[in-house]
Amino acid sequence: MKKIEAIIKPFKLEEVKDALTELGVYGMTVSEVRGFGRQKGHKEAYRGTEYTIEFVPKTKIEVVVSDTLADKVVETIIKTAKTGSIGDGKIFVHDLKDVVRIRTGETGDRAL
Amino acid sequence: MPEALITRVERTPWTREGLHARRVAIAAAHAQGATGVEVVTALTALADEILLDLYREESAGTPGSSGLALVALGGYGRRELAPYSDIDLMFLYAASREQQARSVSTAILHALWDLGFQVGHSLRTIGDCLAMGQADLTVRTALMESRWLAGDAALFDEFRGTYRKHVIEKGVSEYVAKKLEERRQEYGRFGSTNFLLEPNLKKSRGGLRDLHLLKWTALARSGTSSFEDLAAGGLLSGGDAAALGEAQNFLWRVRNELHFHARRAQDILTFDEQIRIAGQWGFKDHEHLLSVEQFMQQYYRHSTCVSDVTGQFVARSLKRSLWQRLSAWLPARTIERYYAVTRDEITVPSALREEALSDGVRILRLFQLAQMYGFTLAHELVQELPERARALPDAAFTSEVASRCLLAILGGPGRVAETLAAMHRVRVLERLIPAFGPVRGLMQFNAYHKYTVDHHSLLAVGQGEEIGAGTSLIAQVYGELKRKDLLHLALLLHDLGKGQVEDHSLVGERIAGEVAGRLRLDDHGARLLIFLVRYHLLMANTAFRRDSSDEKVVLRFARQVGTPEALKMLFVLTAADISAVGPGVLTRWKETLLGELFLKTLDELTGEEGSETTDANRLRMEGVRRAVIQRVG
Repeated sequence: MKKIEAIIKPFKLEEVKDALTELGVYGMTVSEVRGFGRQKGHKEAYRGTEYTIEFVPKTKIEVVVSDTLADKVVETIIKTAKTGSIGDGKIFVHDLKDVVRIRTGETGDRAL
Repeated sequence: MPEALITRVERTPWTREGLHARRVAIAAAHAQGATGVEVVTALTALADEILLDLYREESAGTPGSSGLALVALGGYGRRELAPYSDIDLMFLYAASREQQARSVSTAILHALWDLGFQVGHSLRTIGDCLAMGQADLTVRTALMESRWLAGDAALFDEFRGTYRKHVIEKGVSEYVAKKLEERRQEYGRFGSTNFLLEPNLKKSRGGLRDLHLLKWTALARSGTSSFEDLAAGGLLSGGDAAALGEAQNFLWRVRNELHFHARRAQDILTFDEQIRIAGQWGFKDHEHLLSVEQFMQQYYRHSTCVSDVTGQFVARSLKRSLWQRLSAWLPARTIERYYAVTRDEITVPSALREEALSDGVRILRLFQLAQMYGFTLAHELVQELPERARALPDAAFTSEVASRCLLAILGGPGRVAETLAAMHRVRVLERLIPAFGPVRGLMQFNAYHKYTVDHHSLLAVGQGEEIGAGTSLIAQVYGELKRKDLLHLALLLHDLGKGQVEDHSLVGERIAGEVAGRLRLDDHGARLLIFLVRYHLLMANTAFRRDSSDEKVVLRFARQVGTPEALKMLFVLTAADISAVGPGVLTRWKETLLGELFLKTLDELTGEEGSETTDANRLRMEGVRRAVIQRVG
């Protein structure tokens, strides 16, 4: 099993979600995150006052899928989240030891 | 044959099954519609019956004047047992009878435990009661509510008399202040607004505990806690007493239902329980208003009443500071003929009340003065105004002067939300803006909102003022707004279209149009107001779901908004609306995305280039310059 964590542009969330659902991903965790990569932060000015945006708002999605689906998921995120301009985000893929469904105690792929 | 033996022979001992059957009968009566009062009274009577039997059995053979009495305390003392309430008991004994008290109490407690009761108990002499009542706030309160159950009645009377003289009547103000503080801390843990979507019936604001606070205050001050007695003594108005009785009955009935269903002391009115109870009590889903929303509207109406009346009652009974007492002797200042002002309160002298309160503008002026000088409305006005406002014809609130007054209140500066909330409480706001009436206590049944529509709307105005007082980009923009009255009005109206079949933005647009007409707004103002209400979700949807680095997106948004003024207002309105959804909902994440869209759109609308001096831009420009120099060079 793999846990796939993607940092994407906020407005891409709906599109990515729809594409992953279509692929057979059953669940996902989404959070509002702020940070910087190569895009860095920037300053905005309004009427002489500067407002520093050190951390750029992004959306983080986390999905856990079977090994067989993992590549397809990564590919789909790349395809849907890409705009081609700076700040499109990153995808992190982790090996996952186990998953447990709390209600039933099921583990592994059955718990996905 | 001694009498005690005869009763013993005739009685069947209490068993768990026997008790269960009696409880089931009470639960059945409840299910068939028995009121809250009927059920708590029946449950109390059942507990009394059991205790009397047990006491008779265990103290058999000892004469009535035995120097031992069985006493009910706390909620049981008040005869307010819910199905799974604890039973609070005291064994009161004369010093010489300690042995007997111990053996009787042990036997009774064992029997109660065997029957499955949760019991709190104590063994005390009158001396113990005095010492502990003076030392401990909780004991002091529980003992105030003592009720004789069985045994030595003379001993109990002696306790009551001594306790009243040496504890209850001593340091009353200090006692009330401490109980109020204790309750405030409880609000912190269980909800400081009575508009929580999943309230705790006992401990959230507006819950049963507020009624207890009122009763404790009344007991300490005047020796009675019955609403009727308090009304007869002039300490509560007849209307308040009746409303409290109704609210108490409602809260009890809901709580009984929760306990019976969960088979334990469950006091939280969860979403699941709300849906279940609304269905069971015959509320019907309408397309625009779910049964659960109708049920909860009733809850909010009652809990608001409880929290308001208790707040006022307790405040009145608190000892006033030396300055307040002195200033009460000073002649009140008169403002504009009708209004009398003491240091922090505004009222209308009773001789002038008929004249002042039968005129819409004079009523509005009262609120305007309160806002300007930070006065609170005197209690008697708070009580009188709802009826007065209801009795006036619509024309009293639609004159040009009345409209100007309301716009002045909306414009502030300062205390706008506070003043509007005061007007809402006494039902004046809905006379000015009729659409505000139907959303009173209207819940929004989703996991996103935390408050009812009326509370959310007033809070949104408050959040606008609060954000505006900060140092953020939004604060700067708020500071520049010339028509803050329109912004506040839009915040007040933005969600009033909820609870109807149609999209609430469209209903809201119509409401905004009507209000603009009533208030005689000029064309420009009316257009702005209608736009803000109709499109109050547009900026959030664009900022969070569209790519604001895409020029086409910004251009389209800019076209919809039209002018820099409308954009600035929509920016502040969006932030205030989000912030009023619940604590922590307006995150830096959302603020940043909104801010970016705002700045890009403003550039588009004002045609200013380069007002966005980003480092990235500067670097890009430098790169271009170097390239040009190289090429030219």
